[in-house]
Amino acid sequence: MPDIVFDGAARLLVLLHAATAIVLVGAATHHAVVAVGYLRGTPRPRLGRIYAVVVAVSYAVTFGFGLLAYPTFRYHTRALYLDRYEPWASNLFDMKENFAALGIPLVIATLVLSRVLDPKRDRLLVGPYAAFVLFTAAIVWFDVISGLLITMTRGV
Amino acid sequence: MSRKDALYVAMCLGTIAFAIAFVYPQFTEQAVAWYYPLERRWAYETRATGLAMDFYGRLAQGLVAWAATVIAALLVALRIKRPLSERATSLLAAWAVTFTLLVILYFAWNLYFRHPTPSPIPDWYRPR
Repeated sequence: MPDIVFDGAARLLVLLHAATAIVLVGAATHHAVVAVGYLRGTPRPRLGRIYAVVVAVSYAVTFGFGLLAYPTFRYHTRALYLDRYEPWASNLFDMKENFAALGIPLVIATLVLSRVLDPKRDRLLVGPYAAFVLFTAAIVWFDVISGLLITMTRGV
Repeated sequence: MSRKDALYVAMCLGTIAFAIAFVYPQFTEQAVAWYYPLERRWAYETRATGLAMDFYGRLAQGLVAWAATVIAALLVALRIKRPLSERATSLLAAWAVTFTLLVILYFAWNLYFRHPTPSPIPDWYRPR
Protein backbone atom coordinates (compact mmCIF):
# COMPACT_ATOMS: atom_id res chain seq x y z
CA MET A 1 0.00 0.00 0.00
CA PRO A 2 1.45 3.40 -0.96
CA ASP A 3 2.57 5.76 1.79
CA ILE A 4 0.65 8.94 0.95
CA VAL A 5 1.24 12.06 3.01
CA PHE A 6 -1.45 12.66 5.71
CA ASP A 7 -3.23 9.46 4.63
CA GLY A 8 -3.88 8.41 8.22
CA ALA A 9 -5.42 11.77 9.09
CA ALA A 10 -7.38 12.23 5.87
CA ARG A 11 -10.84 11.60 7.36
CA LEU A 12 -10.16 13.99 10.24
CA LEU A 13 -8.86 16.58 7.78
CA VAL A 14 -11.98 16.30 5.60
CA LEU A 15 -14.18 16.53 8.71
CA LEU A 16 -12.37 19.74 9.73
CA HIS A 17 -12.59 20.92 6.10
CA ALA A 18 -16.39 20.47 6.27
CA ALA A 19 -16.69 22.07 9.72
CA THR A 20 -14.82 25.21 8.65
CA ALA A 21 -16.81 25.26 5.40
CA ILE A 22 -19.99 25.58 7.50
CA VAL A 23 -18.54 28.72 9.10
CA LEU A 24 -17.41 29.95 5.69
CA VAL A 25 -20.74 29.53 3.91
CA GLY A 26 -22.56 31.27 6.78
CA ALA A 27 -20.13 34.19 6.85
CA ALA A 28 -20.02 34.53 3.05
CA THR A 29 -23.83 34.60 2.87
CA HIS A 30 -24.11 37.19 5.64
CA HIS A 31 -21.39 39.25 3.98
CA ALA A 32 -23.35 39.12 0.71
CA VAL A 33 -26.47 40.39 2.51
CA VAL A 34 -24.43 43.23 4.05
CA ALA A 35 -22.97 44.09 0.62
CA VAL A 36 -26.47 44.28 -0.89
CA GLY A 37 -27.28 46.70 1.93
CA TYR A 38 -24.33 48.85 0.77
CA LEU A 39 -25.89 48.96 -2.73
CA ARG A 40 -29.33 49.82 -1.39
CA GLY A 41 -28.00 52.67 0.73
CA THR A 42 -28.40 50.94 4.09
CA PRO A 43 -24.75 50.21 4.92
CA ARG A 44 -23.51 48.49 8.06
CA PRO A 45 -19.75 48.90 7.60
CA ARG A 46 -18.74 47.47 10.98
CA LEU A 47 -20.62 44.26 10.20
CA GLY A 48 -19.07 44.25 6.72
CA ARG A 49 -15.59 44.44 8.20
CA ILE A 50 -16.31 41.63 10.68
CA TYR A 51 -17.69 39.31 7.99
CA ALA A 52 -14.79 40.12 5.67
CA VAL A 53 -12.36 38.94 8.36
CA VAL A 54 -14.40 35.82 9.18
CA VAL A 55 -14.68 34.92 5.48
CA ALA A 56 -10.94 35.44 4.92
CA VAL A 57 -9.90 33.34 7.93
CA SER A 58 -12.43 30.54 7.34
CA TYR A 59 -11.62 30.51 3.59
CA ALA A 60 -7.89 30.13 4.33
CA VAL A 61 -8.45 27.41 6.95
CA THR A 62 -10.97 25.50 4.81
CA PHE A 63 -8.69 25.72 1.80
CA GLY A 64 -5.71 24.62 3.91
CA PHE A 65 -7.45 21.51 5.23
CA GLY A 66 -8.51 20.67 1.69
CA LEU A 67 -4.93 20.99 0.43
CA LEU A 68 -3.69 18.62 3.14
CA ALA A 69 -6.34 15.97 2.41
CA TYR A 70 -5.97 16.29 -1.36
CA PRO A 71 -3.19 13.70 -1.99
CA THR A 72 -5.21 10.95 -0.26
CA PHE A 73 -8.35 11.95 -2.15
CA ARG A 74 -6.45 12.09 -5.43
CA TYR A 75 -5.37 8.47 -5.21
CA HIS A 76 -7.73 6.49 -2.96
CA THR A 77 -10.95 8.28 -3.85
CA ARG A 78 -10.46 9.71 -7.30
CA ALA A 79 -7.93 7.52 -9.11
CA LEU A 80 -9.16 4.18 -7.74
CA TYR A 81 -12.89 4.81 -7.57
CA LEU A 82 -14.41 8.03 -8.94
CA ASP A 83 -12.47 8.00 -12.23
CA ARG A 84 -13.70 4.44 -12.84
CA TYR A 85 -17.29 4.48 -11.57
CA GLU A 86 -18.36 8.12 -11.11
CA PRO A 87 -16.33 10.29 -13.50
CA TRP A 88 -18.78 13.17 -13.16
CA ALA A 89 -17.78 13.44 -9.47
CA SER A 90 -14.08 13.55 -10.42
CA ASN A 91 -14.79 16.36 -12.84
CA LEU A 92 -16.99 18.19 -10.34
CA PHE A 93 -14.22 17.97 -7.75
CA ASP A 94 -11.68 19.50 -10.12
CA MET A 95 -14.12 22.31 -10.94
CA LYS A 96 -14.63 22.92 -7.22
CA GLU A 97 -10.94 23.09 -6.37
CA ASN A 98 -10.12 25.39 -9.31
CA PHE A 99 -13.05 27.69 -8.53
CA ALA A 100 -11.96 27.82 -4.87
CA ALA A 101 -8.45 28.87 -5.91
CA LEU A 102 -9.87 31.60 -8.14
CA GLY A 103 -11.82 32.92 -5.17
CA ILE A 104 -8.64 33.63 -3.17
CA PRO A 105 -7.81 37.04 -4.73
CA LEU A 106 -11.47 38.08 -4.43
CA VAL A 107 -11.48 37.22 -0.73
CA ILE A 108 -8.26 39.17 -0.16
CA ALA A 109 -9.63 42.11 -2.17
CA THR A 110 -12.84 42.27 -0.11
CA LEU A 111 -10.85 41.99 3.12
CA VAL A 112 -8.54 44.86 2.11
CA LEU A 113 -11.37 47.05 0.75
CA SER A 114 -13.55 46.43 3.81
CA ARG A 115 -10.82 48.03 5.97
CA VAL A 116 -10.65 51.26 3.93
CA LEU A 117 -14.12 51.59 2.41
CA ASP A 118 -16.61 54.11 3.73
CA PRO A 119 -19.84 53.09 1.95
CA LYS A 120 -21.47 56.51 2.39
CA ARG A 121 -18.56 58.49 0.91
CA ASP A 122 -16.98 56.00 -1.51
CA ARG A 123 -20.03 55.35 -3.67
CA LEU A 124 -17.82 54.49 -6.66
CA LEU A 125 -16.17 51.61 -4.83
CA VAL A 126 -19.38 50.17 -3.38
CA GLY A 127 -20.40 48.46 -6.63
CA PRO A 128 -17.06 46.69 -7.19
CA TYR A 129 -16.91 45.73 -3.49
CA ALA A 130 -20.41 44.22 -3.65
CA ALA A 131 -19.54 42.43 -6.91
CA PHE A 132 -16.47 40.80 -5.31
CA VAL A 133 -18.45 39.79 -2.22
CA LEU A 134 -21.35 38.31 -4.22
CA PHE A 135 -18.95 36.50 -6.56
CA THR A 136 -17.14 35.00 -3.56
CA ALA A 137 -20.43 33.89 -2.02
CA ALA A 138 -21.43 32.21 -5.30
CA ILE A 139 -18.12 30.32 -5.43
CA VAL A 140 -18.47 29.25 -1.80
CA TRP A 141 -22.04 27.99 -2.30
CA PHE A 142 -21.04 26.10 -5.45
CA ASP A 143 -18.10 24.51 -3.64
CA VAL A 144 -20.11 23.53 -0.56
CA ILE A 145 -22.87 21.88 -2.62
CA SER A 146 -20.28 20.18 -4.86
CA GLY A 147 -18.34 18.98 -1.83
CA LEU A 148 -21.48 17.45 -0.32
CA LEU A 149 -22.38 15.71 -3.59
CA ILE A 150 -18.86 14.31 -4.02
CA THR A 151 -18.62 13.14 -0.43
CA MET A 152 -22.05 11.48 -0.71
CA THR A 153 -20.72 9.61 -3.74
CA ARG A 154 -17.40 8.61 -2.19
CA GLY A 155 -15.42 9.99 0.73
CA VAL A 156 -11.72 9.56 1.57
CA MET B 1 -3.99 58.81 -6.15
CA SER B 2 -5.19 58.15 -2.59
CA ARG B 3 -4.01 55.10 -0.63
CA LYS B 4 -7.55 53.72 -0.86
CA ASP B 5 -7.64 54.02 -4.66
CA ALA B 6 -4.12 52.56 -4.95
CA LEU B 7 -5.18 49.53 -2.89
CA TYR B 8 -8.25 49.12 -5.07
CA VAL B 9 -6.19 49.24 -8.29
CA ALA B 10 -3.68 46.76 -6.84
CA MET B 11 -6.41 44.32 -5.77
CA CYS B 12 -8.12 44.41 -9.18
CA LEU B 13 -4.88 43.95 -11.12
CA GLY B 14 -3.76 41.24 -8.68
CA THR B 15 -7.01 39.35 -9.29
CA ILE B 16 -6.45 39.49 -13.04
CA ALA B 17 -2.81 38.38 -12.68
CA PHE B 18 -3.80 35.45 -10.47
CA ALA B 19 -6.46 34.24 -12.91
CA ILE B 20 -4.06 34.37 -15.88
CA ALA B 21 -1.10 32.75 -14.07
CA PHE B 22 -3.34 30.04 -12.60
CA VAL B 23 -4.83 28.93 -15.91
CA TYR B 24 -1.87 29.59 -18.22
CA PRO B 25 -0.14 26.18 -17.77
CA GLN B 26 -3.41 24.46 -18.68
CA PHE B 27 -3.29 25.39 -22.34
CA THR B 28 0.42 26.04 -22.95
CA GLU B 29 3.59 24.01 -22.68
CA GLN B 30 4.73 25.99 -19.67
CA ALA B 31 6.39 23.85 -16.97
CA VAL B 32 4.87 23.88 -13.50
CA ALA B 33 5.53 22.09 -10.20
CA TRP B 34 3.81 18.68 -10.13
CA TYR B 35 3.35 16.61 -6.97
CA TYR B 36 3.48 12.82 -7.23
CA PRO B 37 1.50 11.60 -4.19
CA LEU B 38 2.47 7.91 -4.52
CA GLU B 39 6.17 8.68 -4.73
CA ARG B 40 5.98 11.74 -2.42
CA ARG B 41 8.12 13.82 -4.71
CA TRP B 42 7.95 17.06 -6.68
CA ALA B 43 8.94 17.61 -10.30
CA TYR B 44 9.09 20.77 -12.34
CA GLU B 45 7.92 19.71 -15.78
CA THR B 46 5.48 20.36 -18.60
CA ARG B 47 3.59 17.06 -18.46
CA ALA B 48 3.23 14.49 -15.72
CA THR B 49 4.62 10.99 -16.19
CA GLY B 50 2.25 9.18 -13.83
CA LEU B 51 -0.30 9.96 -11.15
CA ALA B 52 0.48 13.58 -10.35
CA MET B 53 -1.20 16.83 -9.32
CA ASP B 54 -0.43 20.22 -10.80
CA PHE B 55 -2.88 22.09 -8.58
CA TYR B 56 -0.29 23.06 -5.95
CA GLY B 57 2.10 24.29 -8.63
CA ARG B 58 -0.51 26.35 -10.44
CA LEU B 59 -1.75 27.76 -7.14
CA ALA B 60 1.78 28.80 -6.15
CA GLN B 61 2.31 30.35 -9.56
CA GLY B 62 -0.94 32.30 -9.24
CA LEU B 63 -0.05 33.55 -5.77
CA VAL B 64 3.42 34.66 -6.87
CA ALA B 65 1.91 36.50 -9.85
CA TRP B 66 -0.69 38.06 -7.55
CA ALA B 67 1.93 39.24 -5.03
CA ALA B 68 4.27 40.64 -7.69
CA THR B 69 1.41 42.46 -9.43
CA VAL B 70 0.00 43.90 -6.20
CA ILE B 71 3.41 45.21 -5.10
CA ALA B 72 4.19 46.70 -8.53
CA ALA B 73 0.71 48.23 -8.85
CA LEU B 74 0.91 49.78 -5.39
CA LEU B 75 4.32 51.29 -6.10
CA VAL B 76 3.13 52.80 -9.38
CA ALA B 77 -0.36 53.87 -8.24
CA LEU B 78 0.91 55.69 -5.15
CA ARG B 79 3.15 57.86 -7.37
CA ILE B 80 0.27 58.93 -9.64
CA LYS B 81 -0.99 62.36 -8.64
CA ARG B 82 -4.41 62.23 -10.34
CA PRO B 83 -7.37 60.64 -8.54
CA LEU B 84 -8.83 57.43 -9.98
CA SER B 85 -11.53 58.30 -12.51
CA GLU B 86 -15.04 56.89 -12.37
CA ARG B 87 -14.48 55.14 -15.70
CA ALA B 88 -11.22 53.51 -14.54
CA THR B 89 -12.85 52.37 -11.29
CA SER B 90 -15.66 50.61 -13.16
CA LEU B 91 -13.37 49.15 -15.82
CA LEU B 92 -10.93 47.68 -13.30
CA ALA B 93 -13.69 45.87 -11.44
CA ALA B 94 -15.26 44.71 -14.70
CA TRP B 95 -11.93 43.32 -15.93
CA ALA B 96 -11.22 41.58 -12.61
CA VAL B 97 -14.65 39.92 -12.53
CA THR B 98 -14.58 39.09 -16.25
CA PHE B 99 -11.12 37.48 -16.18
CA THR B 100 -12.07 35.37 -13.16
CA LEU B 101 -15.37 34.41 -14.78
CA LEU B 102 -13.68 33.50 -18.07
CA VAL B 103 -11.20 31.22 -16.30
CA ILE B 104 -14.06 29.63 -14.34
CA LEU B 105 -15.93 29.01 -17.59
CA TYR B 106 -12.76 27.58 -19.16
CA PHE B 107 -12.45 25.02 -16.34
CA ALA B 108 -16.18 24.28 -16.30
CA TRP B 109 -16.29 23.69 -20.06
CA ASN B 110 -13.19 21.49 -20.19
CA LEU B 111 -13.93 19.48 -17.06
CA TYR B 112 -17.56 18.88 -17.95
CA PHE B 113 -16.49 17.00 -21.06
CA ARG B 114 -13.41 15.28 -19.57
CA HIS B 115 -13.15 11.49 -19.53
CA PRO B 116 -10.73 10.70 -16.67
CA THR B 117 -8.47 7.65 -16.92
CA PRO B 118 -8.70 5.51 -13.78
CA SER B 119 -5.57 4.05 -12.19
CA PRO B 120 -5.19 0.26 -12.34
CA ILE B 121 -6.59 -1.52 -9.27
CA PRO B 122 -3.62 -2.69 -7.14
CA ASP B 123 -3.46 -6.16 -5.52
CA TRP B 124 -3.72 -4.80 -1.98
CA TYR B 125 -6.83 -2.74 -2.74
CA ARG B 126 -9.83 -3.22 -0.48
CA PRO B 127 -12.65 -0.65 -0.88
CA ARG B 128 -13.01 1.41 2.30
